[in-house]
Amino acid sequence: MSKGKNKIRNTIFYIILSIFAFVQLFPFYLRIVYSLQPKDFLPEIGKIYLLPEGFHFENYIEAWKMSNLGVGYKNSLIYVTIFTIVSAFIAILVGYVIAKKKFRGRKIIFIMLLSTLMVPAEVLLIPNYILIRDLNLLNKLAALIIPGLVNIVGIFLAKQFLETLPDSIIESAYIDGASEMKIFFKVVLPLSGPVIATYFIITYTQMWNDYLWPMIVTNKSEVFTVQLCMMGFQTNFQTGYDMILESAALITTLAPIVIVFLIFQKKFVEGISMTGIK
Amino acid sequence: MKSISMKKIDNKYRKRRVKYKQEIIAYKMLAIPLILWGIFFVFALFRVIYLSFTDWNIFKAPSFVGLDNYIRIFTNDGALWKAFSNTFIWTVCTVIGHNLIGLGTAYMITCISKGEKFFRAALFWPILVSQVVGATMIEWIFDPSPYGFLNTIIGHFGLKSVAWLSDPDMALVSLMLYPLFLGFGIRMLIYLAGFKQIPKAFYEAAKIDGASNWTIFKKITIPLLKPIILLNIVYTTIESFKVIGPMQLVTNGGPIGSTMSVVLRIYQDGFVENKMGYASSIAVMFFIFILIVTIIQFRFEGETVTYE
Repeated sequence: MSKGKNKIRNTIFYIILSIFAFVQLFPFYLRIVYSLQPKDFLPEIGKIYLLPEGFHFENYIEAWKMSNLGVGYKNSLIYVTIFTIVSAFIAILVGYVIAKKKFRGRKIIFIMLLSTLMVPAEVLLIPNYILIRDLNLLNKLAALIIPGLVNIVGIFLAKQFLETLPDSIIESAYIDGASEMKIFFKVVLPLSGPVIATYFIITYTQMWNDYLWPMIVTNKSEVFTVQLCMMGFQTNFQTGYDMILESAALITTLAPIVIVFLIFQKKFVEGISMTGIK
Repeated sequence: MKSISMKKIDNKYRKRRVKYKQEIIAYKMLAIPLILWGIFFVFALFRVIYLSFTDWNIFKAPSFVGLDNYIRIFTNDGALWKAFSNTFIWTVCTVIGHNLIGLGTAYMITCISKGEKFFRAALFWPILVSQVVGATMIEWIFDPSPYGFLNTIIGHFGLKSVAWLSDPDMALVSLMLYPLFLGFGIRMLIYLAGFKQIPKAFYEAAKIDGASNWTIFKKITIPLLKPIILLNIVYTTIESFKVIGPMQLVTNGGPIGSTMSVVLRIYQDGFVENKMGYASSIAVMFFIFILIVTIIQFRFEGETVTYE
């Protein structure tokens, strides 16, 4: 690719890319404007408001209170964090055993694990819901966490990564008399840093944004996740105070994850490219 | 003589024991993950297949009805086929849209000299918009009232409002447009990574031979990118078949079933109408459908890759 040589062509490219960026940003910008409007704001038909009539940040406080977003944030943080840590741990453990241990049935186990990638989680909604219900776990943290803990994509990533790890590192730890546990915790886990970071960041956003499974297994507002709180907020009135509060709640839900993305952008990009290409 | 052979046997025995011990350790480490996987994937899959042959609602125990559910799917459920065709239309549009836009923007980003990182971030970030937030945006953008986003813009030019989401002919398109422009970021990133893998020497050689940019793109970039393009198509296909978010959160399948998707049917039949048996048979049909599509695509991919 000729970098930056063809001026006319590149100008056109800049324009097209800018249009795409604009199309994606503009509606959200308008929602930010909307969220800052005064309580009695009523838009005129056919008028686009590029700036709010004053900055009413108290809308955010009101939206936060109304939609129980505080509880939602707390629940989501607890649930997603525990989920991501435990499932990352399992992925590294299984990936390590399959990549580095010689045992009968290793290939078969790996192929069987991989083949379940073909089964969409949506197909298993009903049996897993019934099981969770029969175990009396509805509306409990465990219901949100346990079913997805064995993350096949994560295991695949971990296995691919750990295969590149030289055997000599693990062997020398053996010779030094380290136990299995010690080798896993002191050698394998620390060396899996890059793959854990990738997995963590992708899974975290994914789980944070998920709504279907949490919606199925919870129906009490005190265990709702952020997304469920936001769902309860959806209004059919596209004018007036409701719309202002909805905009504020929407921005509040979206902002943290965008900020996290901007901080860890490089990891995000690496992670997606890695899981995508394999 | 004797002692040496004894030693040999002893050694062999010890080796086997070490190997045996290693196997036990491996299985011990795998035990809990495999049990969890067995319960929530394998057992669940068999259970949904079993349930698909039963009639079951919350109030009574499941009763075995044989193929009744499947017969009903094939003979007496036009709405389900509407859901399948909606899902199919959604998938075709998304696969084409996301891959064309993803490939195009990725190419443009690799060509420009400055602002590469900015555009990558600016086009990628909407991936982080959750289904729920996205649905709220769709509701507002395609709101049939004159206060909706698009109707405001239309009204700005003095034109009449469009019914968008409340028009059965327009509803599916209205749901689709926004995700189409928001969800291509992952494809774009993977194409970007693909472009980087192509050795620069190819381009330089072509340049020396006097090839134009378009020829280079057509004759070098695209053929070399083929495996990645196919991979992206397979992923997008499987992902889009599972669509439920916008349909459930914005229109709930309506108006008159015009935006029903297959997964939404599984949800509604199972969790809203409590027909767990029938919903399970839809789920199984859906699973078989996805399996067939995946196998066809991977076979197709295998052929072209070996051809390369």
